[in-house]
Amino acid sequence: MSTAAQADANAGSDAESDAGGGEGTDTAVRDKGAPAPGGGPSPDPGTLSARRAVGLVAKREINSRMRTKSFVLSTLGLVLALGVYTLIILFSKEGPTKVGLDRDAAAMRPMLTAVADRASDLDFEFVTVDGDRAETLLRDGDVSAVISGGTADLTVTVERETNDELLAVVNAAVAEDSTTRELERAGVDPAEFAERVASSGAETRTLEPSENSAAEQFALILSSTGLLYFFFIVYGIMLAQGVVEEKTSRVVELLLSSIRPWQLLAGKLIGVAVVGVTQLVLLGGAAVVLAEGTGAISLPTAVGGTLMTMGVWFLLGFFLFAAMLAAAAARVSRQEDLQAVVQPVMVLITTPFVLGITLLSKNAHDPVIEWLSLVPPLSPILMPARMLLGIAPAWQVAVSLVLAVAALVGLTRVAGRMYANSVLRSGSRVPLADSLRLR
Amino acid sequence: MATAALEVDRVRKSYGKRRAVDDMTFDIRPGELFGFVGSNGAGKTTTMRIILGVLTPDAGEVRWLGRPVDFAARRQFGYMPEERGLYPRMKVAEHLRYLGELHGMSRAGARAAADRWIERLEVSSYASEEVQNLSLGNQQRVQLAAALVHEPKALVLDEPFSGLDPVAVDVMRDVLAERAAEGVPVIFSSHQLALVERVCHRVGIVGGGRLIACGTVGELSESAERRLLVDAPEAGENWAAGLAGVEVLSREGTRTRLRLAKGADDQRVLRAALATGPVSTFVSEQPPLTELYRDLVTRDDAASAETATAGAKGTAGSESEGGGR
Repeated sequence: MSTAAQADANAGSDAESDAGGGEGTDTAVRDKGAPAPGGGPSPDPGTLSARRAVGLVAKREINSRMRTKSFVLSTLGLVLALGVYTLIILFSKEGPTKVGLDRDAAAMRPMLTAVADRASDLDFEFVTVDGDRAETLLRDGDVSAVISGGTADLTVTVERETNDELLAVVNAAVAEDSTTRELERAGVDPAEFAERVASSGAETRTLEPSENSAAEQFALILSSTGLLYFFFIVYGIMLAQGVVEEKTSRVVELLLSSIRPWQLLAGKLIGVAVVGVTQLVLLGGAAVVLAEGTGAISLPTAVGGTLMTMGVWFLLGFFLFAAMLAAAAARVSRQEDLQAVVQPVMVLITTPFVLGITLLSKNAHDPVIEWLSLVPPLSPILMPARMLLGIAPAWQVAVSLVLAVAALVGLTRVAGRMYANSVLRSGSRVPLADSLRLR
Repeated sequence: MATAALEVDRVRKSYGKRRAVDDMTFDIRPGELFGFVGSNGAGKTTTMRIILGVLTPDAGEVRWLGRPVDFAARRQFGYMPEERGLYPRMKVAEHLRYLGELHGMSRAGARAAADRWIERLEVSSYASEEVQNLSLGNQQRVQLAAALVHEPKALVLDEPFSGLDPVAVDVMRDVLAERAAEGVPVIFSSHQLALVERVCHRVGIVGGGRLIACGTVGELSESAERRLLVDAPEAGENWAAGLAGVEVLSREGTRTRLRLAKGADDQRVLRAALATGPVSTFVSEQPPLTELYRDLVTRDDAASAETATAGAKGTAGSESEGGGR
């Protein structure tokens, strides 16, 4: 029989009649009493519990994915990218900026050093240089600036661009120097004056103190939502492709003559999730080691908690999205057709990511985002981001978790039905109505 | 005669307006090798997929040991799909172990069975290769091993012989015969009619979604026109002309091949031949399956309007109208 004709013909057919939804216990009621025809082959293949069926499928998924070169390479690649990122940060933090002082300006040194030390993020080293060689030293890069002249006619010479920070330090030093002198002339103790000035500033009172600076917040939002988005897409598509591969190679027909569709789907979901979490943990661990070891990036206080949060939400979100992707993927028999059927699910994953980035970075306390972060399918991306920012009250976290789990339970049922209805129907795309049909 | 192990009873399946399988009825007995032949698109694959539960029939049912086939029964079947079905990137031995375990074998049991079939089907040197790196013929041997690894109680194989070299055909044939000898009913489809004739106990010929003939090759040939080979050295060119129900197929020298319509008397032919002089050869030839098949299928096409289940016999519960007997 011609393959093409058969493939087309199958389009109008049913999936396994007693598939799906059922509990695994029915595999236990197989016909043990039936005599083997004509004395039959000897050992009766034992019964298979649902748990073992799911476990076997999951194990195969894990083995076949973790042992691949692409998994090892992609993990190494991502760790390498993290390492490169750390190195860049490390190298961008150069040693102290050397500033030359000529003989006249040398008197300013204590004042300059004092001002520069006050600002913790500035690191200047002031060295005395020969004023006549200033130009050569600048051109050779031995010093990045040369300060010459006395307080009255102080000049900062640079090679190309003025360092604004240095200029600020120099100006502050000059101003302080002259203030001190004026105060002394007026008979005021400069030290006492400085103390009084320091204690008179306005004090800030923060209602909802945030742990991190704005820049750090943005980095956190981007990295957390980005990482989750990346993993949902990568592992969701990996699962969808696996579903189609089984249909294309017809191996699904062999598998489903021994196990139920839901067992196959559950095993695949769990297997891919394990691979995903493993990579997430490997990457997270590498990131923590790099950050702690080099001190390049300041991490939120509770790193372990952060990874846990990410892990829980990864699993919830992954099962939610991947179940939908698998159900959609089961409708087609060729990888080329996959794109079209998974597109709607992709929109569901991409929307919260884009929303999260734009709204959270604009105003993390926006009430709209507070509400959106409670409901699936937005919650698996938005809520962990809010939790990492430390702006999600416990009740909201609880509500979002409950809703996500409820959605997961409902959705896996629908997805399981779609999968069971479609996965044995090879040929052209299974109509959505057919795949959703109750049996 | 032994009772049927696997029965296909009035199974019907339509795709849109096209009837892919129509009132398909036959059975396979324990230890029987049943050959399933028919032109492309005749409904063989659809029938086999229905037996395996990959497709659900619109009407009719498949019974295993007298009871409708359910999931538990199907777990005891071994199946070889037409398009083959293995994970391309999985290693041969690992794959067979996996399928064995999915069928409820213990880890050790699956390992032993996988090793045994790998050796039996002569693919030992590829045991740790990925399936996709094997030649198509060797992939097919692995596919057969996949159908056999869980010691199935029935075998349903879609075109197991297609694309195999002669040695592989022999290996495959021996394995199937061996299984059948152990009491396993085996049904397989094939276009290699000579092979089917040599190997199978019974043959089912499918045309237009229906079973147009079913039985041993001998039974089938009885229902068809008989052939005679007559060597009458002194006979003239047209010695057989005018004999009722006799058609001259060919003449090679003094030998004449004749086709006798049903009911035609071969003794009259002999008398006519003797009338010309001595007769050195007078043989009733059994037509090969190839010709039976061609006859039946073309006859069926011609008479497709009526339910020509010609020659369908020996089929318990069949609705044969006995047209061919």
